[in-house]
Amino acid sequence: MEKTASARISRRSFMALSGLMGAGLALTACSPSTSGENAADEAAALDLGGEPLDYDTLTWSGCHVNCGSRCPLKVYAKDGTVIRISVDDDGADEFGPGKIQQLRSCTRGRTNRQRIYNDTRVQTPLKRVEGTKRGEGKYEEISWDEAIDLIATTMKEIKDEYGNDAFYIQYGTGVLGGTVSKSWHPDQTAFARLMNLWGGYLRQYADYSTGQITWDLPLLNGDAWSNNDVMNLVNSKNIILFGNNPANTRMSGSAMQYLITQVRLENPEANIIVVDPHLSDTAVGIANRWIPIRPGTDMALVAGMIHYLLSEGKLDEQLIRDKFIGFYSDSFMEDVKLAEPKSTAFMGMDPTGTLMPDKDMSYEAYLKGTGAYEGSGEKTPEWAAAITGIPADTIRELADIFMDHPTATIQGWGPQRHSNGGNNTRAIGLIAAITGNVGISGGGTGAREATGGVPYPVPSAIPCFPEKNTVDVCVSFFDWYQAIVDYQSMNDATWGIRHIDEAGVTSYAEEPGTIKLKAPIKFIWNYGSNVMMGQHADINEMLNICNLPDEKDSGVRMIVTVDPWMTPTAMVSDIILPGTTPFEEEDIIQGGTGWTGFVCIESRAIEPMFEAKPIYEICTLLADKLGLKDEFTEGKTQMDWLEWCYDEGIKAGADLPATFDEFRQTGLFKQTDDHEPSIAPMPEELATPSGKYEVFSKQAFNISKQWDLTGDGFVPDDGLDQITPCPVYYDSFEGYGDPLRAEYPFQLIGHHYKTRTHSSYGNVAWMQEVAPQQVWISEKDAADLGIEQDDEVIVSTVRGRSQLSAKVTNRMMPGVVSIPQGAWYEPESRDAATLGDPSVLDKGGCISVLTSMRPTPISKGNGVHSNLCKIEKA
Amino acid sequence: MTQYGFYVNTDICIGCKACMTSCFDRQNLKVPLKFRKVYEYGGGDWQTDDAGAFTTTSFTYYASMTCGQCDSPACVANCPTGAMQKDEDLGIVNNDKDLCIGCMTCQKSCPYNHPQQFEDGLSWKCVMCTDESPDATPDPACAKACPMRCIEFGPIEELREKHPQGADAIGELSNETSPNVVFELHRDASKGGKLMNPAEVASQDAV
Repeated sequence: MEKTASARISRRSFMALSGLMGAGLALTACSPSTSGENAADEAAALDLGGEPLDYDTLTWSGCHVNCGSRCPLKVYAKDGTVIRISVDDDGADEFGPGKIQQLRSCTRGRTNRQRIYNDTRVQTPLKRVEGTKRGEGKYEEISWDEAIDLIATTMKEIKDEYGNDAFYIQYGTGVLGGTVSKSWHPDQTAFARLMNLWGGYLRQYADYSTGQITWDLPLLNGDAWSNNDVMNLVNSKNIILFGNNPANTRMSGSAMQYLITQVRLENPEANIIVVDPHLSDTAVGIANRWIPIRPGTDMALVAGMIHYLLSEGKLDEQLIRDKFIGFYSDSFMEDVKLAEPKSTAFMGMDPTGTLMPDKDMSYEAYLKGTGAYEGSGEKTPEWAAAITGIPADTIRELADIFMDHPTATIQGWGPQRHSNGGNNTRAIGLIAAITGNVGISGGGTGAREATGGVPYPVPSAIPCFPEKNTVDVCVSFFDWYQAIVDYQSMNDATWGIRHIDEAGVTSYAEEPGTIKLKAPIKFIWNYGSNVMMGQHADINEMLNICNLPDEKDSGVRMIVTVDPWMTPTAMVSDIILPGTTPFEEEDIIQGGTGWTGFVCIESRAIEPMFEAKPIYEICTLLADKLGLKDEFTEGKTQMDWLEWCYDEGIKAGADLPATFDEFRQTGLFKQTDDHEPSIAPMPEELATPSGKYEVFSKQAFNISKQWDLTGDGFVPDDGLDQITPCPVYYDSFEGYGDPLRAEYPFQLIGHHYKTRTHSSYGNVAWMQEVAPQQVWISEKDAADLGIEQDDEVIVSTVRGRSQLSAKVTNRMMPGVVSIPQGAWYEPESRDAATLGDPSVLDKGGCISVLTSMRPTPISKGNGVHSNLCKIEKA
Repeated sequence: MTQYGFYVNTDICIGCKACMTSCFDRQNLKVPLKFRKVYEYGGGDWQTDDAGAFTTTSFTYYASMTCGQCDSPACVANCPTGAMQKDEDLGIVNNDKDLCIGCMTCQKSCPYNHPQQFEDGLSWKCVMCTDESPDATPDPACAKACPMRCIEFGPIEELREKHPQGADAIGELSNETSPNVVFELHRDASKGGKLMNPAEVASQDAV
């Protein structure tokens, strides 16, 4: 349609005129009930057409949350108010080598006006009312001067008393993807820069996303991350997704879900199978088939498949003998020697040299129920069916699909987020490798997918001086709370304490029990972090831990939160500082997938709201109080740092305009190339002690003898945590085989959901309106319980209770329910007397009030998808 | 006359609702007002074998729908004041706000329950984002928002020609009023199914 600058009535007249001149028929055809100018007049009475949007500025900003994607956003502002959010929807939108795609945001990105203008905005610095408990949520306003002074004074006290070991920067991903303002990685944040200048802080290893895959998958193959580029999957015959649901996570218009949709369109013959307890949106979008599996039983499925392939003679024995150790019984004792960990890069060094299995612990023995596994029975598909809920014939069929090359395997990070998730992640890697699919086009390793991109060589963080950090031990991202409870219980063999070097590389003990924490955590810095009352686990227990008295060896002294919003975590803090949203400051974001890369310098669309300040300014104020302002700023403002990034990028050859001003003026830059999508190789030598796939891990065997899974008496010795050298199935904590299921009959998982990225966007009414927070329950289970669609129900575990409405759906397998993770904790009462009691009812549908903080056996990570629950009508 | 419409590829739609939220922002819609709605349809059975393992025929698909700008608009036919009309150039259906009395007969008669009653008491509806163009050029935000590129916008004849296999009905969204929409049918759409997300498509209902 031709666009004219004239008013609508004129366009009509023009069209009518041309109709009269050229094709009277057309005029007649579109005017069945009236005719000529008359029609135009009447139709003009319709409320169509209007004035263009009246705005003052149109600038680029972006969405800075932890979805695994990154999206620029167009911001229209008028009179200092954001009046519209749009996306990169202009220009070419082509996909392929040498082509540029649009960077459309996901659904969440569109709702940012309701994040900026939100009732939960923190307006001024706040101080917890003296005498109230953390979590009561009672605050008084204080000035910035008072707040900064109070924080700096307390920091000095703590440093004098405990040293730098007592400071902890909490994991937080509410501000992710920026360069100066970033909450992740914690070691790349402004506060980390300040703390390192001041002597350092206690660091963490791994994160809430990848707690177990990071350490457990490498036990098998030395590599938690490599897989084929998803665009290489246009060559796949089969694509198997284990618990991978990018349609609810990496769901922007340039992220993984977009890419795998392109794969499906370009490779319509591919057999795409999703293995997941729920029929995910990813399966709805791309899969031919859904195979429902009981949560936390992937390793049983894999065992059943390999048992079938082995007994049918379908495995490539030569491949296994060349590249794997610990698989066959006949070479087991020789294999074990090859797999001995001989450096602290590996876990389980054995200074005694005496740790040796006295029986056959090979995977073959496991499958056959022989050797060390005597009496456990054969791991037939029938055996696996009873555990996984997948029929034996389907297990055999799936096994054959793996052998029908090329078969791509991708695991999301759900399977590893179970109490036995370390074995899940290893088993999924095993089935991909042992079926000969690694290193081939259209195949893959079974890790998370690679997504391509054409990166700009622009720094993504400012220097943070990790070499100045004097604290040389680190704690698991999930175990930090124990350093408030009893830091002296924490060493490498109890709570997974490790050494960490200046590059952030961790190492294990030469001798078990020798790496220890030196101080309790006394100071916690939360920036863009809703971990403590959100992502972590067991909110009630966490409330109790937060309220432990500040004594010599336990109890936290100060929790500071910087956030634009009054999150549940802000409400356990002593000081809350109002942070800016990305729309209120300048920064640089970058990203891209497939054959498109981008860098975007973001402008300040509006001034900081209320008394909000950017994190760099906040840390500058603190640095000043600590006498470090010059070192901290190096004389640079936030904008100066962005210019530094630009300069560094130009030096490294970034294809950007000649001046920083031009860079700022345009804002968004995109580039393309025509690279071949990568294929993760089958390395000559893997980064394992033997250089081969270690189906039996001697590292795991050694620590199974060395480590104390009770965490020095804090975790029940109930046999529900195990360290197993092979990725075997065992009845794990609050998994399908936990006897507690007699009392709490449902397995409860918390799948990621389209409404939120973790808890980001959890306060947005528009998102809640399009996908309300509901517990997913199967039609069969709902019928048994008398629950109907949208009924209010209460879900409870040993640890807490949460109320929300029910989504009754045949998309959930019977016996399993899911509460989408990330909803904000909204207790019915914040009364001091009951704070932290499991009886307090959460009315926000927050799964974190139900999950457990019991650390997983090897990685000391979060097994928060393993929960047993009850459900009742509210 | 050029009748405009939408093509919706339900076979790759993931039900993300970006079409809905982009519309919220573009049209300043307050909860629970909705122009676009994404319907979730599903069905199928579950069977358990002797080992306690499951076989299922469960299926799900999403269908995004806004006003059909129908060729036989029920809202126009039933509007008691004649406020609701169908535009003759673009085929867009809209009401004359001076004539609208806010009775919402339009919504009650619409098979898609589309028109919404705003705070001014009057009926408002999707006009394909013509409202910010002096010459009423349609430029719907939803089509440009779709992350999976499921939604195409253009002259309906062109869309129908480009997608000859397309359908004009899906799930419980039937064709009673000749809507100008082309659905690419999801691979499971032939199984039918029932509405599975009533809360998510619940808007402000006519009283």
